[in-house]
Amino acid sequence: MKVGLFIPCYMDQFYPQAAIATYKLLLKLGCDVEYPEGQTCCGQPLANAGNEAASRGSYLHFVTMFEKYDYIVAPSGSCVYHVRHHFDTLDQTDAVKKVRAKTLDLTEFLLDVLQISSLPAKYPHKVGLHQSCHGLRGLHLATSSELVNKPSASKLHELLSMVEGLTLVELDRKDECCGFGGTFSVKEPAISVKMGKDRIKDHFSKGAEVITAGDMSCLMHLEGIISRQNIPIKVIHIAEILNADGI
Amino acid sequence: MPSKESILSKIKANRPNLWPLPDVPIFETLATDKKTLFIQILERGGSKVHCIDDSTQIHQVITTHFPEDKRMISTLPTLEGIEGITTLHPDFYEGTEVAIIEGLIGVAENGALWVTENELGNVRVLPFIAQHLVMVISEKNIVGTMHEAYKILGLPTTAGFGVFIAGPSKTADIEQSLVIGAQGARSLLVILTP
Amino acid sequence: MMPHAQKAAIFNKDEARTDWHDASLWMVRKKRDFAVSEIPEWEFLREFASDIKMHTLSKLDDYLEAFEKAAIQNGAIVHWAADAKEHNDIVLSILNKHQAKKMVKSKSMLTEECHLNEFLELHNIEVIDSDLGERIIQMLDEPPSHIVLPAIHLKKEEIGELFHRELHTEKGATDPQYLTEAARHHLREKFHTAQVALTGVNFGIAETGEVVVCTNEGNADMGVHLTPVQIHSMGIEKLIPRRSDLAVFTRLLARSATGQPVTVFTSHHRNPKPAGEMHIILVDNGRTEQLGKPDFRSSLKCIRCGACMNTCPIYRRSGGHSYETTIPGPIGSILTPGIDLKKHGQLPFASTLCGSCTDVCPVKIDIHTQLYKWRQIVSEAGLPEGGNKTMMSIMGSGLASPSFFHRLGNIGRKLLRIFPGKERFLSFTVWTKDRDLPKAPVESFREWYAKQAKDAK
Ligand code: SF4
Repeated sequence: MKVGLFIPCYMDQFYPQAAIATYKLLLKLGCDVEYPEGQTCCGQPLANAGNEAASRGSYLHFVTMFEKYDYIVAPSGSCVYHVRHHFDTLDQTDAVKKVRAKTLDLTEFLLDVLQISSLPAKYPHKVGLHQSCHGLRGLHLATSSELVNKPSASKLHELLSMVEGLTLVELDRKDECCGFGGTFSVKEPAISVKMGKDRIKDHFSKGAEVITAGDMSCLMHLEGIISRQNIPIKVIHIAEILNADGI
Repeated sequence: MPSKESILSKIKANRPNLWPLPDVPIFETLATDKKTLFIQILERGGSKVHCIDDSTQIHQVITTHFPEDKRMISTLPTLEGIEGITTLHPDFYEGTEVAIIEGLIGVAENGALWVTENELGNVRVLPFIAQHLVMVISEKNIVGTMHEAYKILGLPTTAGFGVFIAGPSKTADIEQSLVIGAQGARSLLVILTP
Repeated sequence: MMPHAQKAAIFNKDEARTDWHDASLWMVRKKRDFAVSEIPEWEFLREFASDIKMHTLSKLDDYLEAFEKAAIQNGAIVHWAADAKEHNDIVLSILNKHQAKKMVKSKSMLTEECHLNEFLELHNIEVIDSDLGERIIQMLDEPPSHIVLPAIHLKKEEIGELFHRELHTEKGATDPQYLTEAARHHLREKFHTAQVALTGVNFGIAETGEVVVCTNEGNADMGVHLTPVQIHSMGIEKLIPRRSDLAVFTRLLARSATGQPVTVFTSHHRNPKPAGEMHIILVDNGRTEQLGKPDFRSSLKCIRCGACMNTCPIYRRSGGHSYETTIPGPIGSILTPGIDLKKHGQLPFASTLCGSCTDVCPVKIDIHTQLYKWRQIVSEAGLPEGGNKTMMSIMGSGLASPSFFHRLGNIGRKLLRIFPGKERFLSFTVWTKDRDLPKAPVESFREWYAKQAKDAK
């Protein structure tokens, strides 16, 4: 089984440690994983800003880069959602269909494909889990709080429960949006920042030392506010926790 | 083109392909004791419930709850000594302190009671205009859910007006604080007969 | 018109008030969650409701004709209005026919949409909104900020002051019970002196010709039963085929809207009262056009419960007025661009596409997907919200080209290393007003990966 690793552009540049953790974790779990160096962007930023037409080129490039892999794994529910959901505007060739079907978020790959039930990870900290919206409601990585009567399930919770020493804090609002929203973060800065502040407050007031999530973009936004306001809390991508050895 | 024709022809041009109409099952409540649920939900919504074991006690219950000598209007045929419907003019009923009417169906899941204008002596405004409302219903007529209620109701035959009433009139329009007694009745007393 | 972002920024200046607004609506959302938890078949009901509505839309012409026929048989008078103006003219002509100068009105988003009050006031008709929240904002001369909770943006102190001025309540009195009592007395008098009552319609039933109106206060019924002439204004999408379908919708509506198991009053009006007159006005006003847009027609399933507003993190932190539309919030942002793209094209961008609205919606409208699709249309139309098209297409080709892409990324990161933290430069100024930029690492993942691949050899 050959796995192609997709790393979103901003992660490549600003959060290489999260990408490295993803890569190392996959290796550790015995995957034949490769990072195709010609990769660019899934096209989401432009498309969400209303320019789907302009992102066609990057969609096609994505398909070309990744069609040869059995699975395409990305540590970002948001990009994965975009590929799976919004590549529907391309001609549905076999390659496009395959890429759409086989592109998975790291957490679903670990649980649904590798079917792991334990991890050699240790992270002795109090952690708050932020459910990134695209993963949550787009990929159904967890049951959203609106769906009161569906059996509650959360892939991220399941994985974090395998980590030794980790304590999860209970939040008041377990899946409210952080306010990033790509283009929204600069089109509506006032609300975007306010939403971020409110999320941080929820985590911080429950004693979390660290906020984690499956999407680095949410965390980048939260980190920007945390750093500006000097709040003693950190952000860390879930891959880094799942790959942590306890130091 | 008159608007009716133009609207209809636009719809014909724009409507989607035929979408099937689902058959909705009669979902029943999981509650084993509908009466208890009915009472519980009514009380949660700010109503009072009084159970009696003989309908001759209705009068007594009403005078216990409303001891003062104020204007009462009843459309129950059995209640002697209480004013009935004498005119259809709705304004006449302003100043009614207590209206006493019969409920036909009670719905356990939401505490709603169905009544039509037939039970209101054709004075449709009666349950709304009175300061307090008393509804008498037999516990035999309690169903579990709205599905069961509408199944029994079927299509309207005689009544030109029917309403589900699920409590006293209320509002939360000022800062979301609940106030009982907005424009309609300030209280609802449900008398459950066997 | 001020952009939503700007209005939202003003709203957010008073952070305590923003928190208060957010918390009030979140409380309603939590009540909804509890009410929903009591119905095990909730998700099925949503599915049924959605299908019933889609079915009705797919035969809307047939159902409207059936409805009209039944209503006429019942003794109602049915009117058809192509747009807001025609609707308002019909209402006025009914008032004139009865030489009526005073009309009580219960909540109706449709008449807000038609700006009926302003129109009738121009013709010297006194219109009294009888729902408490509506009456409050009517006295303040403001539009509703929410479709179910029209005065949710106001504090009780503000209402107390208003009532002191208008209804002579005690100065400084803010107790909701006391204020509501004052409004009750004030409105009772109006119910008895008005000649005509107008209501909105929650559901029209094709097989019986009935209109169903749901309220908690009982104000709609007070008006309808006390005045000789009743008018029901109804958007054509409010139809449902069968009376039994009400079971599905009454179970969904109040639970979604306020967390009550059902509204206090669910009134079924079939015919006029003795010696009375009953009018039903069927209004199009853009609905048939929306029906013709395959991507957006399902927005017509909406039953106006307001749940998408209560759950929306943006609505809660910007208030209904920031949208400058009759229907604010997520559903408003997919309904209004179809009416006026230039004016409302910015609204689909007032969202993070978090999708909470879609999951909460009792009739399963895929609101956030439609927001995304509206964005495409807005930028296709070349509106500024969609960004500069030429720039975007250059960016697009850049993103499809590995070499350009890598160079761009590296330049970005290196710039950040030179100007870290709070430096404001390039287009990052908006981001950095209240947020720092990420700390740029020495090497990118790509660089790291290339190095370790080489080392491995
Ligand atoms: S879109 Fe859905 S959630 Fe929003 S008001 Fe309409 S029915 Fe309610």
